[in-house]
Amino acid sequence: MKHVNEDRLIQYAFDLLDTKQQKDTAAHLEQCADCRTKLEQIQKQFAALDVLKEDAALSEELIRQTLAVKAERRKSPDGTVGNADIKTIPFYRKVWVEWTAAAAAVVLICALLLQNLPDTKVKTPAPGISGKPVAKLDAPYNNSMGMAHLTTHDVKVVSADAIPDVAPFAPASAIELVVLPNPDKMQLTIYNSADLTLVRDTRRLTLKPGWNWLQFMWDGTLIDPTSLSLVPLQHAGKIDIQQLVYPPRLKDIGRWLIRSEVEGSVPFEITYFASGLSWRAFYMGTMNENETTMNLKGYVNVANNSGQDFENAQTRLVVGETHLLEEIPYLAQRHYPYGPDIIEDESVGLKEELWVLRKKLQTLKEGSKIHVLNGSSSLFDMDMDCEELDTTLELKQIEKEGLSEYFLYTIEGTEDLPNTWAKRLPSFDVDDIPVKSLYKYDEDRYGSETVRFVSFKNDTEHELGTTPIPEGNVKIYRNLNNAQNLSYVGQSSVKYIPVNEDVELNLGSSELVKVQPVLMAVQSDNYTFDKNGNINGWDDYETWKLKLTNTREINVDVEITRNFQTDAWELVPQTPSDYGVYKKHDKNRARFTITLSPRTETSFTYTVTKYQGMRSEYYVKKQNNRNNN
Amino acid sequence: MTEPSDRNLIDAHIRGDTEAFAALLRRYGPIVLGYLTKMTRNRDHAEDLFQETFRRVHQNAGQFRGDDLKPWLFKIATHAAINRYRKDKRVQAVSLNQPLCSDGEHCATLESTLAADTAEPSRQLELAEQRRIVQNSLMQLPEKQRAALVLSYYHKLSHSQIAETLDCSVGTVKTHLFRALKKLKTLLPEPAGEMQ
Repeated sequence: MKHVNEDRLIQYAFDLLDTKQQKDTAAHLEQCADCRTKLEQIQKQFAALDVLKEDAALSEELIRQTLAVKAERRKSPDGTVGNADIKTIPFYRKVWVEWTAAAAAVVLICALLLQNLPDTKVKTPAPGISGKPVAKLDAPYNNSMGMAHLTTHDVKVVSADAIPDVAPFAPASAIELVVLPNPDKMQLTIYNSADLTLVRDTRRLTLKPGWNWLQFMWDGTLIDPTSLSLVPLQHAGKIDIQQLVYPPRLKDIGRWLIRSEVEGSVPFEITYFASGLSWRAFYMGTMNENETTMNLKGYVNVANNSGQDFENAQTRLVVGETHLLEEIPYLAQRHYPYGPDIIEDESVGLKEELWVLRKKLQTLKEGSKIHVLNGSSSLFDMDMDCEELDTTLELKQIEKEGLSEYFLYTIEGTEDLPNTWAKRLPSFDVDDIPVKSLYKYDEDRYGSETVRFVSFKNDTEHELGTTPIPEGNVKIYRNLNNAQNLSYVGQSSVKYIPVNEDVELNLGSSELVKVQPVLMAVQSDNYTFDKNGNINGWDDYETWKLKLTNTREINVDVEITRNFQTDAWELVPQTPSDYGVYKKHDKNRARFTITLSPRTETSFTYTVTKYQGMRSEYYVKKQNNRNNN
Repeated sequence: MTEPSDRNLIDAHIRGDTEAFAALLRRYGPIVLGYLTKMTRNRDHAEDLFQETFRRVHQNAGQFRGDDLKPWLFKIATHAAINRYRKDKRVQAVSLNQPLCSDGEHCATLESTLAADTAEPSRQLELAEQRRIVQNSLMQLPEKQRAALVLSYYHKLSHSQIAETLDCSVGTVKTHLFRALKKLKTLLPEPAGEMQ
C-alpha cells in the first residue's frame, strides 16, 4: 500500500486539497493505521498554535484614543464637525477613474515602446537586439533552426590587432549599448508536460569592431535568464561571445560582452527557456446513427500567458514527460539570475501581481469594445475576442514526428501568439473509424449503474495509427438521423495513447440500458464434519435472476461481471440457455456478454454453488479430475 | 432585540451617527487587535496599526460595498501591517522601552508571573514560553503567508474571504497556506511521544 506523504497529510488536515484528493486521502486513512498515526502527530504539532487563539483584550483607553483620532479628522478646516472626510465615490466615477488610469498606463507603455522601436507598430516585443548595416560579407550561413535563410548582409572585417586585449569592465554609457530589434524568425517548442517552452529566434545585430555590449531585457516576462544563449550564425571565428553579465541593482537585465572582428549586421540565434505557454489537445467524436463508426476530430489549443508576444513563430508541440530540476516560472522570478533562492513570498507576490494584471486586462476586455489604441496590432486590441481568432483560422496541417522520448507536432507555417491570447488549431479529422459500443455492469467498479463505453484502436485498421494521440478530453455526439441532427452522448478523457493501443472511452452511466440482479433463493447443503462432530464444510447455493432492459432503438451489447467473493465456485445457467453463456473472468468472477434487441426487456437465471470450508478441497479435486479428463 | 448589521452601522456612520462607529469598534476591535498582534508580535505596533486601520475605515466607509465588514476590515488591517512591515524593513527602529520578550499581548515577565494570583506559576511560564515560540515561528513566515494563516486558522475566514482580503486568487491563498504550514512544521516543536 502506498502511504500518503507528509505534504498531502498537511493539506488534508487543513482542507487544502480538492474534493477528489480529500476523498481519496480520507479513504486511504480509513485503511492505513500508519498514516492515521502520522496525521495525528501533525495535528498535535499544529495544535501548538492554539496558545495564541484568544483575541486580544481591547482596553477602553484604546477605544477612546481611536475614537479621538477619528474625531480629530472629522473636524473640517472651518471648525465644523461632521463626517466630511468620508469619501463616497459613485460607481460611475470609480469606473471613470479606472479607465483613465488604464488609458494613462497604455499611453505610458506606448511611449516607452515607441522609444525603442524603429517602426510605428506598437507591440510588446519579444526580447531581442539592433543596429545599422555597415558593409557586406559574402559568406552564407547555415540556419540551425531549419527555417528560411536570412538575407546575407555585407560586413567589413577588421584586423584583430586593432582590438584592445582587455575587455571593458562595463559599458561606459548607455550609448555604447546595442538596442534590440524584433526577431526575424522565431520558433517555439512547447512542452505540455512541464511549464516549459524553448524559444529560438534569429535577429540581426549590428556590431562595431572591437568590444560590444548587447543589452537584453526580460521585464514582465517569464524567461529563465539562466538559460539564455547567444550564438552568431555567421563569422563564427571572428565573433566571440565572451560573457553574460547581470548588472547589480538592475532587475531583469543581462548584458552580453561580444568581441567582434567584423563590422556590420550579423545574424544571431538567441535561445532561452520561457514559461507561460501551454497547449492541450481535445477531441470531438461523432458516431453514426447505428453507433458502428465515428468521425473523430482532434484539436490543439495553444495559450500564451508568458508576458510577451510572439509573432510569426513556427510552433512545435511536444508530447512526453520532461525532467526538470527547477521550474522555469521560479527561475524567471528570481531576483538575480544566479543569486540565492527567492524568498517564497516574493515569488507568490509576483504571481499574484501577474494574476491581478491579468484580471484587470480581463475586466477591460469584457467591459468594453473601445479601441484603446487606433492602429495598434496586438496587445491592446481589446475589441477583438478569441472567437474571432477561431473563425478567421485557416485549416493548417500539423505534422507529427517521433523523437526518442517525445513526440513532436509541428504546426504548418507560422503563428502569431499575442500575450494572453489562445488559439485553437485543428490537428486531424478522420472519418469512419470502426467503434464498438459496450455497456458494462460490474458492481465492484461501477456500483448498481450500467456504464457505457465506446472503444476503438489507434491503428491503421481504425483509420488511425500514424501518430500517438495526446492526452485530452473527448466529447462524443451521435447523428440522430439523415438530417445530421446531433445528440450529445457523453464526455471522457483519454491518456496519451501510443500507436496500436486500445482506446476505451467511459461515457458515464446509462439510463437507457439497465441490469438488475435479484437474489431468488439461498440454500446450503452437503455439510461435512470433523472428527469431533463439528461442521467443517458445506455448499452454499444462490439463485440469481438478472433482469435486462434495453429501451434504446438499436441493438446493444452488455457485459455483466459477477463477483462471487470466493475462488471455489461453480455456475449453472438455467433459463434461457443462450443468455447463460459465461466466461470465467478470473478466479472469483464470471462474465456474461449479451446482445439485447431494441426496446426489449428480458431476464435469465443462474445458480452459483460456493464451496465453503473443507468442501473447497472437494471442488479442487473435482476441477483436477475434470482437467485430467 | 437584534443587533444592527454591519451595513446598517456603516450607513449610520456615513449619515453622521457618532455611536455607530463606536459600535463597530467594539464589535470588531478585539479580533482586529488580535490579528494585528499576531501579525506584528508587538503590542505597541499593533495598537498603532489598530488606530490606523479604524482611521482608514472611517475615511473610506463610503467605499464599502456589501454586507460583511470582516474581510474588508482585515484587508485594511493587512495593508496597514504589510506597509508597516516594509517600512520597518527599510528602517529598523527599536524602542528602548520595548519589553525584552516583545510578544505583545501575552508578554509574561518573571516578576509579573511570580506576582500573579495563580496556583501554577510554572504553568504560566510554560505557557508564556509556548506563546513566544509560536509567535516567533509566525514571525518567520513571509507577511502574506502569515496573514493567510492567521486569517484562516485563528479567524476562520474561508479561502475566498482570504482571497478577497489579500487581493489574490483562491489558488494563491492555498499556496500561501500550504507554504506557511510547511514552514511552521519545521519551526513548531515536535509533539512529545506517548509515555509507555
